[in-house]
Amino acid sequence: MTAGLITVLLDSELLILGRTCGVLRRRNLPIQSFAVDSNGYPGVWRLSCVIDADESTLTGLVLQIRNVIGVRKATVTPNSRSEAS
Amino acid sequence: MREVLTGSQILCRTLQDAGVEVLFGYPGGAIMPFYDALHGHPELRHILVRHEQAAAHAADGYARAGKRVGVCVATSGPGATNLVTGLATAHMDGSPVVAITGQVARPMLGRDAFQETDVVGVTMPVTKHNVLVKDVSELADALCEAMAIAVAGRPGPVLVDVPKDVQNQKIEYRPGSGAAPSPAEQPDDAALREVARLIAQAERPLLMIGHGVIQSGAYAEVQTLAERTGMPVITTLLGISAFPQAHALHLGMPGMHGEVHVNQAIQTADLIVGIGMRFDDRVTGNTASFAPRATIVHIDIDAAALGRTVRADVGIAGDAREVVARLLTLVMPRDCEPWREEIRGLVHLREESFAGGLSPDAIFSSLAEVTGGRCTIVSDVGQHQMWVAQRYPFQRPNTHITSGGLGAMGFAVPAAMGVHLARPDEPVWAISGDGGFQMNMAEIATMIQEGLVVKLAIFNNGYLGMVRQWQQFFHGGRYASTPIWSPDYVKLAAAYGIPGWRVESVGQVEDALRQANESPGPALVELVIEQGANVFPMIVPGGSLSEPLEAAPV
Repeated sequence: MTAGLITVLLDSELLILGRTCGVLRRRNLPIQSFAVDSNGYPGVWRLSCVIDADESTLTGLVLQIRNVIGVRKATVTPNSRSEAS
Repeated sequence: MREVLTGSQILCRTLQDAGVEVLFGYPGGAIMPFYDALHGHPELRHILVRHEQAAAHAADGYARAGKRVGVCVATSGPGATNLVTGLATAHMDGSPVVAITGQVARPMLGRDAFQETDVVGVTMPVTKHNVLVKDVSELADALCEAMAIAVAGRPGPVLVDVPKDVQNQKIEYRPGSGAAPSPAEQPDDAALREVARLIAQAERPLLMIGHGVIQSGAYAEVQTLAERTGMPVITTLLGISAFPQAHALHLGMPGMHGEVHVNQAIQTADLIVGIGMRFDDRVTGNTASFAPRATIVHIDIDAAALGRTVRADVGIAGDAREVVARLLTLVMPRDCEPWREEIRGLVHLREESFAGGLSPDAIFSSLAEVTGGRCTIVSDVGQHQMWVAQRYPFQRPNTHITSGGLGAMGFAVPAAMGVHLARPDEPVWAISGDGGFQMNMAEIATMIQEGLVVKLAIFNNGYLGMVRQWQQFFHGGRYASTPIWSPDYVKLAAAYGIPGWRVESVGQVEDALRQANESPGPALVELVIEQGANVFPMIVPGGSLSEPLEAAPV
């Protein structure tokens, strides 16, 4: 199984984080790891998430996340080897 | 000297500055300061609905017909949660609605106070954005931002939740400023050239157009593209009235209840150019077997919609009108006569009989006759909705409004009130089944009190018809909880003080529709149709477009 890393930079508000998580939750994809931390800039949080899914699925997911108001940047790094596989 | 205003006054002032003229709502405890301020703003017309769901649907109808933001208002708790279905409808169909909700005072937040609901949490999945305003200093900006977000890119609903004490808080007023809408992405030249090349080379191309064409007002551009290339045009449920139905290039609606020749054309096509639509599962049927021979070009304002359900060989994110206008500079004239001739060979008549001859065809041809096509049709959800989509001869842009993505029964009656306010000079017909009509028929009282002119047509077959049809086809004819009793609708109309007619045969239909259309206020026509009537053709849920049902399975 391939996995990809999704990285999201978002406004440091629980509302925006909640919306972003809502997009992730609705797609019902297998999430291996999930972390939120500061990226060093005030007012910005970084969400990092490794998901078992193919590149096109993850690209579609990132496009949906970019629609969340308050998300500044969302990227996918595909084809990371899943540790679970 | 600067003015000092309360939060509620700031809300009113900001709405006024944004050009808002109409609000749909229902007062209650946590929104009372706003209503008190509204009393001093007669230029903001408030429509008192009978249920908050109707406020959201009416705001949605107003937004779709008027191409502007529709605003609804509710109190905290049950008022706010009652908005949810209407917000979800607007979210699915990309309609710009702003909801303002009252909330319990800040010190009470999160303590299960009376009529407290976390409405920001509740509405998160069904809004484009929402916000709890935590201080009056943020209020004007929050509302301006909500108005801007609602219309930017793919439109959608935004909710602004305002605690009661913030509504009462005073501050020196300064006008708000909303975040500038992010511009639609500019279409890529190389992709547009590729689309032009594909159109030039295709032998069996199709244009499939949706709601995005109506929202961007790309009627002329799309029609020019069709006429220049000879490409046949398919209109999705929400794309109906984006292209004249009687145009020689118009084929009809695709999908679950699309005509057989339309779906067969899709399955035979070698190129499909989808514009302002999202290849919904009701359009595609089984995506694995959808358009197996076609190269697919997908043009939509929402980049996330490209390739989401059906692969997009070429995906272009952008406003339909701008993209098609640029495409027109690259597309060479051609015709598709052999292909159109092939499609004409796929068209066949289907024998359908209705008791008393009161068929959808008879009803809609009469309605088109009595209105001269000068009306907006707002349909509810179910069998009648599909008959409207299949059979009403829409000729003018944006004259068909329905709940497409969510499929919310009860939509038509309140949405039609919003349409009337956006288009007061021409008739609005709300067409419902007996199930959906009973969900929001209390809004007749709103029409009376507020002077809203909506013509009501009820397809009464004594069943929740579409569910009954599925029970007949797929559940062994076990009609569980689908027979539905109705009141005497003519007497109901009389109780509200409006004229009503019951039509039981084809000979009565035109006269009743004409009298209703010509009466000065709201009017009601009950159309007693066959109980066992079904909508054909039909693609089995999840089935292939190549395998239509044209009669009930045995």
